[in-house]
Amino acid sequence: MVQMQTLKEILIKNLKLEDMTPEDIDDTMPLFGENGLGLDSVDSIELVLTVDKEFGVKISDSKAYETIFANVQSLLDFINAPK
Amino acid sequence: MPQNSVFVNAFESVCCAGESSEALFEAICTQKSGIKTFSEFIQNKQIALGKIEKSFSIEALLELTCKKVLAQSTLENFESTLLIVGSSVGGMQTTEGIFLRDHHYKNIDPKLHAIDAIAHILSQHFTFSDDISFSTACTSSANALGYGYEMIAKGVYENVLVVGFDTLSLTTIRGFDALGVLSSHPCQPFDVSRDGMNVAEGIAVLLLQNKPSKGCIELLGVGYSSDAHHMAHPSPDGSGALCAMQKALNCAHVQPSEVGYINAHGTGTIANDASEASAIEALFGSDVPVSSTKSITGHTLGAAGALEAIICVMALQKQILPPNTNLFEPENKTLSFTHVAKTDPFRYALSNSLAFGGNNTALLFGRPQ
Amino acid sequence: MNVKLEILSSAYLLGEKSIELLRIKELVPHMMTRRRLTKAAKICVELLNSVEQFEGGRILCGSAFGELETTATILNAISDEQPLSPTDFQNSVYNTAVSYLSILYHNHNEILTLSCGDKTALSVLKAGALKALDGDILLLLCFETLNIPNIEQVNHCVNYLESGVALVVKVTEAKATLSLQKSSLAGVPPSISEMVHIAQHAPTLERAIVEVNL
Repeated sequence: MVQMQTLKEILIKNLKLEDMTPEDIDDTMPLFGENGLGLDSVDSIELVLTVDKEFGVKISDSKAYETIFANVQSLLDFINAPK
Repeated sequence: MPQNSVFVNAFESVCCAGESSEALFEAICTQKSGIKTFSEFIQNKQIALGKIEKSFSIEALLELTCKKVLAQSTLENFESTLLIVGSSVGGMQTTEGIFLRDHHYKNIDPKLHAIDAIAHILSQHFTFSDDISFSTACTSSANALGYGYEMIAKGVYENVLVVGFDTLSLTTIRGFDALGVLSSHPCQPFDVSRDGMNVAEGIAVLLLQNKPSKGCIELLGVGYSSDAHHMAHPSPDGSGALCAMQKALNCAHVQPSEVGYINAHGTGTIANDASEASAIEALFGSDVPVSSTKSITGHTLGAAGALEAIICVMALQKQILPPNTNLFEPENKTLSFTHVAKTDPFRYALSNSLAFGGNNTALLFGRPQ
Repeated sequence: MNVKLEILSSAYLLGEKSIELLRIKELVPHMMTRRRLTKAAKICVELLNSVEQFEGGRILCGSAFGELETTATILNAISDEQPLSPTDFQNSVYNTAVSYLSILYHNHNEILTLSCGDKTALSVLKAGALKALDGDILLLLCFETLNIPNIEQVNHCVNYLESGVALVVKVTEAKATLSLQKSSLAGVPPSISEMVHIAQHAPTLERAIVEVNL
């Protein structure tokens, strides 16, 4: 089971979120859009690559991005879900 | 400041759809795409690319194509000619071959790696007065043509040779794949079902001069702009592209309603075609026939500007409107898309090139008075 | 045709291994944008903020080797059969740095990038001179960012692996006061050398004017 802290650290490293700590990312904060973390469509592709490389989980359906990447909690739930 | 006229007096091209410009124009009019599917470039994936059919060496292709243009012209040599190159990857194909074989850089010649490799190679075969190379991704050779226009218009040079050249490379193929914009079949610019672009390779060479030859076409103007929006996505409203098109028209005091044909950048990606269609609609409405020829040639990246300039020149010479291919249901319902090659009298043609970083260039061509 | 360019303002940066950019967080406070900038883009931001009299007009940029770091990262990923980062790819084109300037400073003008090997700086000056005939003030930039792992396998002459130079120019009829020549500083990348020479000497002159043969 991947821990929330680990996921946040990996996001910060792979998306180059300079000067951010895991404490700065709220579990339910939207990842995309200006009212949240502010990731964009290129980041969504980077996220798919990161989730595959770091956790061995593939996301093949781009239509599912909105649900899976809604916030860190939904992403963690997806990664930890039984396959 | 005196403004000299600029004429396209000779040209030649090689791409997946034709070993010559005549063959290319025939392929466009008969809607015979040169794009084919390949599975050796990306693991476990079939993608559609515009690969030049006959295998070639970069050096031989450059030399031969420029020789053909020289032969068409009244010049004996290029000694009083400025060489302007537009390329997105330069010698990257050579570098990739060496690095993937050796896994170190020691055997890479820096002179054959970067953009300058093209001018460097050509200078071994021809003597030019000077050379300069532009690299602005997909607007590279459109910008090269714009610079050539300016050099002649301002009276600095009488002869300019513009070379647009890009080879296929794993960097660009896998790079565009990483962005999720490649199609597995020949692209469908402006269609509701379009799903991406086809990376392609090509060479396009044009000789610009300050005096006309028989049957030549005039390069009347160039317009540049920057989107200032995103590195990989155009601004959705197409305002940057609109600005570039308007500036090109302004150069020659031509009204939008006078333009007889627009060769769109039209790559087949969701983002580009929507944005560009908005821009064309805003400036031209449904008045002007529009087509993208990338469903035949693929997207030759840095060479696209020059290749599509040749297509516009030929369209004007032959008075034939090049059609779209694979366009079954246009997403934009206002634009006037051509579906078959059509003979039609027209005086002006506009060519768009839109690039990474929001770099936009439009070129206006016309039949001389 | 000869054109005289007056250097209204200039700046240059040289780093043996790397250029320290102490102001970058202040100059690009928005982290989500700053994280994407390549080193070359950051150097150009620093240079833009070190010159005066440029209020956001046309920009001409030159680099012989462009975004070498992202290019090398991509080559190594291909070699190792690893997936490519889309951010690295969009950041690998030669006009990456100057496009970020366009985005950061909402510059919608003509922005061109040249890459002409050792003649890059001379070519930027020629292109700048041609464009300056239109009467506006232009920003000319050159950079090289060669600080990648194993660069010593191909680098035998450059001592400053990261470098950048900016000149703010406009056309003038006045006589030239500065010659076009390579910088006397050893190990400056040949591709940017003429512009470094100008940037080194321009501040010492009342009016710095170079004559460019187009």
